[in-house]
Amino acid sequence: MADSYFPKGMPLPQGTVDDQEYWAWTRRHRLMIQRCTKCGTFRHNPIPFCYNCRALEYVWVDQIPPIGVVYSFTIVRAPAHPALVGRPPFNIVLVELPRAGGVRLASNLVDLRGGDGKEPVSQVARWNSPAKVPAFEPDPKSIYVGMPVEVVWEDHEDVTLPLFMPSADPEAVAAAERHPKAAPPKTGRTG
Amino acid sequence: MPWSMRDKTCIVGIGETEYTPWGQQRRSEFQLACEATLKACEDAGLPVEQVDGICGYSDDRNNGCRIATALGIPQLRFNNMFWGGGGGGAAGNVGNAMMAVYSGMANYVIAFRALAQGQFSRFGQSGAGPRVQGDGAHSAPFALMNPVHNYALQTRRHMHEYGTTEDHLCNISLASYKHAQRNPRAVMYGRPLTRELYHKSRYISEPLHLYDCCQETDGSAAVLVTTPERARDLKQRPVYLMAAAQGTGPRQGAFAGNKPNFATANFSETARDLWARAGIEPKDVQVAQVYENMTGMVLMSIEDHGFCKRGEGGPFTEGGRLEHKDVAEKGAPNAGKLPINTSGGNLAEAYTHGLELVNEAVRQMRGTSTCQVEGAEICLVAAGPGVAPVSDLIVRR
Ligand SMILES: [Zn+2]
Repeated sequence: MADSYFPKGMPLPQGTVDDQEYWAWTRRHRLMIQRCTKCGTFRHNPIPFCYNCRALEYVWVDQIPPIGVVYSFTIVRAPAHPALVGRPPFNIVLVELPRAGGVRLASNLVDLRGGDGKEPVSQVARWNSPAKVPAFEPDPKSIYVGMPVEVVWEDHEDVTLPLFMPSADPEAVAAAERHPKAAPPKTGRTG
Repeated sequence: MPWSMRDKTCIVGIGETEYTPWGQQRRSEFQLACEATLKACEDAGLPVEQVDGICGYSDDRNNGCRIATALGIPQLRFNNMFWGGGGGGAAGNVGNAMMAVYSGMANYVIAFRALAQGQFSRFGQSGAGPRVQGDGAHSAPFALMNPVHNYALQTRRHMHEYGTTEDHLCNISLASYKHAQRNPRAVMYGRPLTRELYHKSRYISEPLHLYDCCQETDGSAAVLVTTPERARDLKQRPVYLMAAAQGTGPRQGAFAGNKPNFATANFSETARDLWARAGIEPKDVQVAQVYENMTGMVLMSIEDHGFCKRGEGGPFTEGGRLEHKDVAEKGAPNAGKLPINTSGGNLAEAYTHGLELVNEAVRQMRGTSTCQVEGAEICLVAAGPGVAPVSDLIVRR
């Protein structure tokens, strides 16, 4: 079992003056999103100015529970970094945060329920518990736009990444139900 | 009142090297850039010493001053770089040449792109080190590090919102491959694609198959821009630059999937300027070169430019609409209504970051394309969907 969703050698975040506080919060297993004090606009990733009103003042809004809805996703089948050779398939998800005005995080979806004889891909910490649990690669067919998800934390030596897992949290489920439903496939195969 | 620059400049020469698959080219990328420049001048019948401006984009490694020095150009009056990566500047690059000529900053301006990735690092492959800072810190650790991932996410979202299917994406790929079969310069010449082959091909990043993605090739292409007055002394009938536009919509530089209008190609604002400047509408265009980084973005470009309504891009591709009538299936109901990427484009001709699409637009206007659209008078070039900034060009006979 690996310690992380991706193999060693993948790039990890290093804070700058603009976003070091965000990473300091994730280190403490808190998902915090910037909100403009003046006009209330949420923004991500962290930046000095509010794009709506140019105010510099903001507060960090704690995402409790840290839930979201899958806005889009892809199953990657070809490696784009030397550390990923041999790793695909894996997923990339964009998660919309309903508690933060719909800002999105890029992340990965893991499955803590496991099973199906699949190998665990990493050990992650549940957002509300420090216990490390094995994370499994979710069945690609189980991921969909509009899926309710919640944060799981992946601790590295000196930085922590917010990953996500399928969620039964009532608030996540309610947010997912509000998400626009998939349009039916448009047909036609002439060409 | 018509736009002041409309039809005031023209393309009088096009040049390109041979196009070869990634890594096979032995001549240096810099040599290719110089060769394409020389060929554009030769095509125009202009001594290269007269060139006094050079425009590039996508952080081209071949600075115009180096080219001018190598080719013995006595005076360079304009040396210009279009900001932004990928193909976003393929049309804007020519737009900048147009501005230089119109304003009198220079008289004969080359707009070019040279790309021999085999000699450098591959485009779209991340060389990110152990630590990433800034915008990349919020995407690269999650493996969101290649353009194909971003476009896969946008395409998936388009499918969710509008019911677009992989079959629609296939129609775009088929158009490029069918056109390439008539173009001996195309890297995919002699390697036809079928719908079955498309659906059987491996996914790179779902929902995008191998055949949804641009090739990786080595080569260089260039065009020469001047005024219609100066064109009178040159060899070719000028192809007029009706309009150019460049730029980006709101917050399209937002990282980690936070751009608004997510399931679009970021052309909405730029295209509005373009049509207004040219004084025409989408229906006035008979042929279009629509940059393919990935097919899903072509579909969104078509919507952004108003060829169909938002969300209708999928069905729009059906019935052979994007294919030249001579290569479309017999009896295809929409055959030849809007042929795109008539040389094979980025998918099947060559991936010269879209400058090869400008050359093809010029050939269509000269009547010399290998997939010549009969009676074509106006051609659109839409460059770099989904990046910021993007750019557009309209040329006419
Ligand atoms: Zn504000």
